[in-house]
Amino acid sequence: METLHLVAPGDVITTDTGFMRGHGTYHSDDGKLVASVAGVVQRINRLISVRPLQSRYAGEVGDVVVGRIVEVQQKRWKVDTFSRLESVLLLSSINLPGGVLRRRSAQDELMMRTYFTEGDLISAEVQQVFSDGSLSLHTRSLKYGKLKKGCLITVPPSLVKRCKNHFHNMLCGASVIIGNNGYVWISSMEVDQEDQILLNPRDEPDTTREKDIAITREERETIARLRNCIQALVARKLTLFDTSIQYTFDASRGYEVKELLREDVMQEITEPARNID
Amino acid sequence: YRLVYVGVQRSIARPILFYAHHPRGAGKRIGMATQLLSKYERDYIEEGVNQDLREDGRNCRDYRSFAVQTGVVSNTSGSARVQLENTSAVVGVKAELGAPDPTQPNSGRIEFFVDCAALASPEFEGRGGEDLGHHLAHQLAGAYSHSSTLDRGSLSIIPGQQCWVLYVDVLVLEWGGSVLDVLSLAVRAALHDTRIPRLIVTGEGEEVEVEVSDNPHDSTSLDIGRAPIIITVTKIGLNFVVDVNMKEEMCASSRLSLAINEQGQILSTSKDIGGGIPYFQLNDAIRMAQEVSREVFQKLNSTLHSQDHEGLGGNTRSTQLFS
Repeated sequence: METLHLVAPGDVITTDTGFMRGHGTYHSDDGKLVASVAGVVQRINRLISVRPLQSRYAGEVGDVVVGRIVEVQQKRWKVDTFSRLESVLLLSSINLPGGVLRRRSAQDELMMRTYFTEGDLISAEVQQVFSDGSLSLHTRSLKYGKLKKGCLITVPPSLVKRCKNHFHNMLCGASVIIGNNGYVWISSMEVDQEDQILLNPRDEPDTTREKDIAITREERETIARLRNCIQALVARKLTLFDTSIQYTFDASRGYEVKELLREDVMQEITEPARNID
Repeated sequence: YRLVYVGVQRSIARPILFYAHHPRGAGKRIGMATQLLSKYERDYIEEGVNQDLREDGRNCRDYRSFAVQTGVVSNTSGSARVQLENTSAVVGVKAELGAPDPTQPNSGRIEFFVDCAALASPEFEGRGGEDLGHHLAHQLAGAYSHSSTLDRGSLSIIPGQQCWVLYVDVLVLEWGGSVLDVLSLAVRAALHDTRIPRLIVTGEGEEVEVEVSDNPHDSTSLDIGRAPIIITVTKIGLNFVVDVNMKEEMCASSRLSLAINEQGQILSTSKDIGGGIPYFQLNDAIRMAQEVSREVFQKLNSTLHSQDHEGLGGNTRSTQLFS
């Protein structure tokens, strides 16, 4: 493996003036090329740029993301996906209750807050990337939608491995959604089955009949254990995907859930995950 | 035009914002990062607290492990840094000569100043952290207000004229919940690390001269045996928890901060956030805080003593700055 040229902000990359500067670099007063972020230097012909070790999520079409609704606007919602700009979820991009296919009416616009309100967590897919880099999301599949009964943890997006499938039903009985943007949602398995918003006779979302399935203590413990395992992997800067989480989870069985917060334990349980990629 | 809502909206998510230019209003939370939570996350945390199994597997009375380093700032009389997961603070103590309080001529003084660094939270940009800093400093001063906490008499040099004034400067570096607790730990560690130079007082009456010893090792330490730490018990749902992280803080209905010394005595109390605490729960909350304080004192003291024995901090004045 070739050695990586790692730089910190302020490090001189080269004094040769023949290079064009790319992202993450700038020319200092005396003509040297200096790095402005901490990362790896990449050279393509005469272009030098620095790829930062940690940055905000830059979306691509087809990515699965977990986002939080931060604003309700006229015909769309603004979603926080840990990107440089807030992402957009258009009213026309969601599944209306009952799975019906119809034109969005003025009534729908007034009822937007009943579908998603500020603070709600959703899983969605990136539909398109606008020219300014912001994302447009959609939840036009039954597997996407509002996330309930679980816990969210945030990890650096660079640690999330790109996979075909981001919805994992772990062997331990919990389900994990690893968003490409670094938001990871852990919940118990049964809850995710019932995602359909029920309709009452007046064709409105009927939240009164929402089945209140309480999470059992065992499920809660599993979710907490998974959460701590993922935090351990993040602390070791290991890539996050279903196999690495599963290995770490198995290695953690000998410890109590709260013991997994200790640094020495975190080192030990992430050992099996180190050797796979 | 404004959207008209049909029906009554339950406040499902309460985005709680701290406006720097607003004075502390009723029910407004001091210094919360604007983290939104969904109703489901809130319920998850509350049910977890009810079942004594929090999000990270801790019980309601479990403190997270914290790291303490002393002697981290070189040009101070004493300093310390405490890191508890994603909350951290640095405290520097400077002992300077000054005039005593006219109402207490035989005592030295201790003054607190808290600076919420802009890097700790987006709201602290510019002067955003000022109000919060005043509030935290006020709480720390309240914890140390009782005469038993420090031997103020030993800080007096010439009664009525000169005394040592301990300026305690706190810098909050990261804001991740449980901040007041961390600040009190750091202050106690910094005071443990503080060395007051020896003085030579000559002359009498009008012509009194005070000479400060030049030898940096010729100094006395402070007796912090009765200095308190602050334990905050937060009410989430029906039960109390200690050492909350950011998300749990957002779900809190009220919280009680108690300054407790090693002997288990409560030196100051303060209640925050608008929710009510039933009287029959007050005793339980106080007892929980006292029990937890014992464990935290043990951990803090053992860390400080091991650092003393290893020669870190204190007299060796290590000049490493937060490595």
